[in-house]
Amino acid sequence: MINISSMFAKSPFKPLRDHMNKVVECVVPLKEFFEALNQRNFVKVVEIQQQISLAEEEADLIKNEVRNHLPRNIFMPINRSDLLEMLDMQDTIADVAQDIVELLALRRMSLPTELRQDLILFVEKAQSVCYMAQGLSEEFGDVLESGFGRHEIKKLLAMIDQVSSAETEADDLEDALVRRMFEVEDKMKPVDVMFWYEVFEWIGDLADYSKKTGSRLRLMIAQN
Amino acid sequence: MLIEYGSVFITLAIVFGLYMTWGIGANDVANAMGTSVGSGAISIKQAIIIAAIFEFAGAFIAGGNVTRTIRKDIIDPTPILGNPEILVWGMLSALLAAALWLTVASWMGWPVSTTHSIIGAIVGFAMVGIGMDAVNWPKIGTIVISWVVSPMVGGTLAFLIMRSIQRFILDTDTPFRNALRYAPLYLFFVGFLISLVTLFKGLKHLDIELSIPQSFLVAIAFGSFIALTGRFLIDRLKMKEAGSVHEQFSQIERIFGVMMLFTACAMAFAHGSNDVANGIGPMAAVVSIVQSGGELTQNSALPIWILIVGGCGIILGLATLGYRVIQTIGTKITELVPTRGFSAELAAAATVVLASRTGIPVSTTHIAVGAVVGVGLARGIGALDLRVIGGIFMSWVITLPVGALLSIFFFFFFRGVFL
Repeated sequence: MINISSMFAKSPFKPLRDHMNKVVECVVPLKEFFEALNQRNFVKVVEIQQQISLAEEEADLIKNEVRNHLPRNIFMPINRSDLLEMLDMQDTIADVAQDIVELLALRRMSLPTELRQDLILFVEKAQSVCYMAQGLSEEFGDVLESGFGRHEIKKLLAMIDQVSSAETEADDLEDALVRRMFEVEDKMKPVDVMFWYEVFEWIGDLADYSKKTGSRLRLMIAQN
Repeated sequence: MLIEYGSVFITLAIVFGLYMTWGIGANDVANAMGTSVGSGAISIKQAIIIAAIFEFAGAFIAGGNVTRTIRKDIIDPTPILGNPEILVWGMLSALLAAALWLTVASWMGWPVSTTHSIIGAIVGFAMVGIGMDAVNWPKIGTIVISWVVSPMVGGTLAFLIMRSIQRFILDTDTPFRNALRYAPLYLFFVGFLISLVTLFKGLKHLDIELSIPQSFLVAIAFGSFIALTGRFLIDRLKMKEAGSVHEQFSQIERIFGVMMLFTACAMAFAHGSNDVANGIGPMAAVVSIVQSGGELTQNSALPIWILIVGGCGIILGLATLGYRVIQTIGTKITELVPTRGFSAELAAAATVVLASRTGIPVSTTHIAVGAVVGVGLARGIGALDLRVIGGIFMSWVITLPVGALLSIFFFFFFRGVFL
């Protein structure tokens, strides 16, 4: 007996969305983390670092699950490799968030007071770009439901553009922060200075990979 | 021989026919109803009730042509006019062979089809028991071609229906309002299509003869009735247009969930009109030969009680095992939302009923698979595992010869017992 249910493979789109939600869980506590760092509240710093590590691990599990359920011969309305790359982009966001907190929790670095406000602004901006990328995966659900209808695709493309411009704004904030850092860096420990530039880069990466998630999505829906 | 063992033959025919239809009810029906249950449109209980009623209605109202094909169009009995018992043994062997093979295959999870088993079995005993010339090869050719063509027709239809739903409802500025507007039209189409195909010169056995315009009128009336009933049921949901498109999409799925009630009925009707014949066709052949005292030309009409035996078999199969199979299938098809399920079921039901009207035994399951692929091609389904299509080819390759061999074996067995 041919069982008709055997032709329905597990759809990867729900887990893809779950994965992005988990990734965002790694990003949400970052602002609090930097505030705790500035207040030199290291109990809290370690607590948040562990919380993010846990979320990152869970994101990895979902990622592997998506990959395991995506054999080559599966028939999907989108290109399989685009989907896998989008998953990778999302996952990198979680990895970067983890790298940031691990380094800072280990080195207990603190930033000169005059830079702190700018850093928090920059972190908030990077976070908001991630949240926008999360919104993309919600809207992508509607694109699927409409069977890749033009209306929904148009909406999604507009949202992807918004993520791109938000990422540019984050870049600008990073530039400003780096410039102010340059003015005060002589007063700091040289090794700290080097690592802070690295951390700024990584915070920028949070926004950058969010943007790249959007770019992959654009490729995925632009096939027809 | 026939007089001596007449009641034995009829009893055996009923027992084997019950066995075969029981198997159809236990396994086959699930594929027809599973999509409805999986998309959450109907509960298991509702599926059983719908299946019981509409399988029977399908067999009774529209099953005559396929039954006739299986009963007398595949075999030309002219060479054995003096030995009617050969055809009796043969039909009994075919039934037993197909039913047994189905049981074994279901048990092992092999991809076989009821229709292919019974056709293979009938051809098998005819070739050996009567002779190569006794098989109506052109007819067999038509049937085999239809096995390739029918899933494609189902797929194409499903693709077009899915595309139309996208075009007129989902991909618009006001999807919810368009869904409300077009839902009755789609339902009209369900009722109109199924009833027109059924009515079109197709009710002679019930002593109802409608002219072509009359058929159209009745079909329009029936379609309108379905549309109005559906409209009433949709209104009872009391939905207000939601603000976001996202919420409107889930409202639309609820509307199509109601509409799938009707395609579920259509699917059960279609399945009954085609697949029940696999069980009752050979049974009817045996009964009419015995009762006519050896008349092989079989001009007599199909006795109603045979249909009832077939219906009982199906319901028995549903009640004993079928509900569990439907449940299993239903829990695995959750990815198929009602808009998609509606498209696939309407396409499959229309294709099967059309085949039934022309008297061609097709595989409902294969057509349903084709329809789901059609919806997938319209970019409607998240992920499909197309290995099942390989299973369809296997079904063609394996089932026909095995059915034939088993039936030949039983043919010689019966001949040995009764001769």
